[in-house]
Amino acid sequence: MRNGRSENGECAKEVELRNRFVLLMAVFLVCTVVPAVAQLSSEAQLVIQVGKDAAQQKDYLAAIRYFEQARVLAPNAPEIYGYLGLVESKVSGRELRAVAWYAAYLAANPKADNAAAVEAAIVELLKTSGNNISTLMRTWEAAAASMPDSADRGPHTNGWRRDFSREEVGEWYASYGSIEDARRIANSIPNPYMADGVLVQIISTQLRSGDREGAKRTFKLIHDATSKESAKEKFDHAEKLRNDDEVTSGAAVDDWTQLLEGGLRGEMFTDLSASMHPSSTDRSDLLASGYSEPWIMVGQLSYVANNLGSMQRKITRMLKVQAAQQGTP
Amino acid sequence: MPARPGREWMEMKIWSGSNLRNHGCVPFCRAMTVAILCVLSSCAWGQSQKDQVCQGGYGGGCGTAPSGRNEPRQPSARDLEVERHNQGIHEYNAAVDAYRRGDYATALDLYQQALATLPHDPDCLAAVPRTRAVMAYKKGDYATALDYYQQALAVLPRARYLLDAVASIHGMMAAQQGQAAWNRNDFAAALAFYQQAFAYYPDNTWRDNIALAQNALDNKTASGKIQRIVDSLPKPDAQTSKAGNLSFDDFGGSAPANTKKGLFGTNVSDPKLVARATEPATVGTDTKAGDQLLSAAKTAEHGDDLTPNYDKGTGVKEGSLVFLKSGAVDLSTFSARAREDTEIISTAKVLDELESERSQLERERDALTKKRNAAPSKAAMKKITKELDQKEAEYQLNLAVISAESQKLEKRHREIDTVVEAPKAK
Repeated sequence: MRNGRSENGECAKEVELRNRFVLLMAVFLVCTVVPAVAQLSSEAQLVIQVGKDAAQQKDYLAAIRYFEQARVLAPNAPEIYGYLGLVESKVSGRELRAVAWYAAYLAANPKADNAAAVEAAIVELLKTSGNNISTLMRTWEAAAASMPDSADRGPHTNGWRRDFSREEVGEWYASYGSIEDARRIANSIPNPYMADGVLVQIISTQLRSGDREGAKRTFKLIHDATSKESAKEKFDHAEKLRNDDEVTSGAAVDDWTQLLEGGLRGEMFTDLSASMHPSSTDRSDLLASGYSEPWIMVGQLSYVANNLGSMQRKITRMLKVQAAQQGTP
Repeated sequence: MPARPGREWMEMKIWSGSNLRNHGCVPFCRAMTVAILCVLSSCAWGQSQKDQVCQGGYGGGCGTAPSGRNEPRQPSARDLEVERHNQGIHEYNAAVDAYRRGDYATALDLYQQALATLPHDPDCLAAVPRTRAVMAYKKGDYATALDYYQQALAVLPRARYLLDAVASIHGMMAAQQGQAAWNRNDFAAALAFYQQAFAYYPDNTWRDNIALAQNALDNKTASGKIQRIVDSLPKPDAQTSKAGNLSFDDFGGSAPANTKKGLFGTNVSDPKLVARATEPATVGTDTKAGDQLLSAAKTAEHGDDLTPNYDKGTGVKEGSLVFLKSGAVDLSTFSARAREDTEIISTAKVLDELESERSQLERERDALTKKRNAAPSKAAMKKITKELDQKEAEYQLNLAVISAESQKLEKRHREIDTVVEAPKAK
C-alpha cells in the first residue's frame, strides 16, 4: 500500500471522510427530521385537548391556562405557541400577547405551512391593538380635559392641574408619532410652558424620524428659554435618538416569552376597568395616600395607554428584526 | 378635615372684648372719676380743715365740727353713695381680673355682686350675660352663647365687641353645619355653609375651608365626568378580536385532530359528562380524554373525589392520565399475585407519599389563594401571587409525578394480571 491507498483504489482518508459524512448526515437527519415528527407526550396531548375543549366552550381564559400547562410539559412544541396565540386573540385586550405568541411560533417554525396566515393574523391583531391605543388615548385626553382647573391638594399632587395632565397627553401623542394630535393639544394648552413641553416632544419625534426641517419649524413655536435649551439638546443628539429606535433582539422564541412574562403580563382593558372601578383596591389605596380621585383615574388611564403603546412599538420593532433575519417581507 | 377657629381666636376675642368694654364704659368711668374727684376733694377739704376732722371712714363725709366738741358725724347720703360706687367699682374690677384669668365662674359671681351694688350700670348689666355667653361658648353650646350675647347687646346695642361676638357665633354655627356636611361628603353644602360662615365673620379658617370644600367639589364633579368617559370605553365582550381565520387544525401539531375519536374510545362522549360549574360532572360510559380531564379539573375544584371519573369510565387506555384516589392505594382490588409484587408494593408506597404531598400542597395552595384574595394592598397581592404561582408549579410537578407513577403501577399491574398470567393460563 502506497500513499495510504487501498487495494481497491480508495484512500483511507477518503473512507474516513465518507464515513464522517454519513455520520453527519445521520445526525442531521436525527436533528431535523426526528423533532418534526416527534409526538408530544400523551400527557401533553391530553392537556392540549382539554384546552381545545375549553376554547370550544369559549372559556378562553381556561384554555390559555391549559395551553400554558401544555407548554411546560412540551416546551419545544411550536404548535402550542400557535394555540396560545389563537386563544389569546379571542380575549379582548390581549391582542399584543396573541401577537407575541404567534411571533414565537414563527420564530420557532419560520417555514410553517401556515406562516402567511399567521402573519396576516399578526397584522390584523396589531391593527386592533392600534385601535385600542387610539381609543385609550382619546379617553385619556377627554379625562385630562375634565380635570379640575385648580391645584390639587395632597401629597405628590401639588401642581397637578388640567394643563399639566393635558401636557402629558400631548407628549404621548407626539411620542407615538401622532404629530397632528400633539400639535392640537399644544395649541389648546393655555400655559405656555406646558405647551412647550409638548413641542419639545414633537421635536424629539421629528428628529427620530429624520424630519430635521420639521423639527426646526416646531422649534420656532417654543416660548420659554429653558424649553428652547431642552429642544436644542434634542437637535444635538438627533443621531442617538434615531439609534434608540433600533432593536437588535427579537428573533428568538425566548425574546417573545420574556416579553410575555414581562411587559405583556395581564390584559389591558380588563385591568383598566378593574383598576378604575370605584371599589378597586388600587384606587382606595391611592385615595388613602392622599391622591385625589380625578388624578388617580387619569393616572390609571395614562398608565395603561403608555404601557400598551410602548409594548406595541417594541413588538413592531421586534417583528421587523425577525422578518429581516428570516428574510420574510 | 376643615379646622375650626382655635383657642387663640377666642382669647383674642376675649381681650378684644375687654378692651372694647373699657371703651364702652366711658360714662361709667366718667362717673367714677367724678366720684373719686369728689372723695379727693372732700379729703382735701377735710385735711385742709384739720379741726374739722373727718370721722370714720367716710372720706367724703366730713362736715364742720361743732364748736367745742369733736364728735364723729354721721355719713351723709352723698358719702354713702360714693361708698357704694367704690364698692361696685372694686367688685367690677375684681371680676375683670378673674375674667382675664379665665376664671369665668368667679368673674360671673363678682359681676353679679357689682350689679347688685350698681343695678343700673349698663356695663354691669351687660357683663353678666356676656360672661355667661363665654361660658356657654367654651362648652360649645353656641346657641345658648348666642342668646346671652344678644341679651348683652340689648343693654349695649352699639358695643362693637358684642356685635363681633354675635357675628362670630353665627359664623361658628354655620361652620358647624359645614363640618357636618363635609363629614357626609356633601361638599356642595359644606361649601355653602363655609361661605355663610365667612360672610358672618371673615376668619382665615373659614376661607381655607371654603378652598378645601371647593376643591373637593371640583374633584367630585371631575371624577363623575371621568368615570362616565371611562365607562364609554367599549366593553371587552363587544370587541373580541376576530383576527385571522386560523383554527387549531392550522397548527398541525401532535395532538389528535379528530376530537370525536377520543383517546379512550371511538364513540362520541356521553353528553352528560359536560363539566358543570358548581358540581362534579356526571360520568358517562364512553368518554373522551378531554371530557374526563375537564371533569376531573372541575371535580378537583370542589375538593371532591376524583376516582369515579376515571374508574367508572372507560379511560383505561395505556398512557392515559389516571388520578388515584387520595390516601392509600387500594391493593385489595388487585390479584393476589399483583399484591405480592415488590415493584407494585414499592410504587404504591411512593404513590401514597406523593398523595400526602399533594394534599398538603393543595391545602397550602388554597390557603394562599384565600390570602391573596384578601390581600390588603396590590403589593401584597403581587407578592402572594408569586408565592401562589410557585406553589402551583410545585403542585403541577407533583401531579405529573403522580401521573407517571400511576401509569407505572397500572402498567405493572397489567403485566402481572394479563401479559404474564395469560401465557401461564394457556
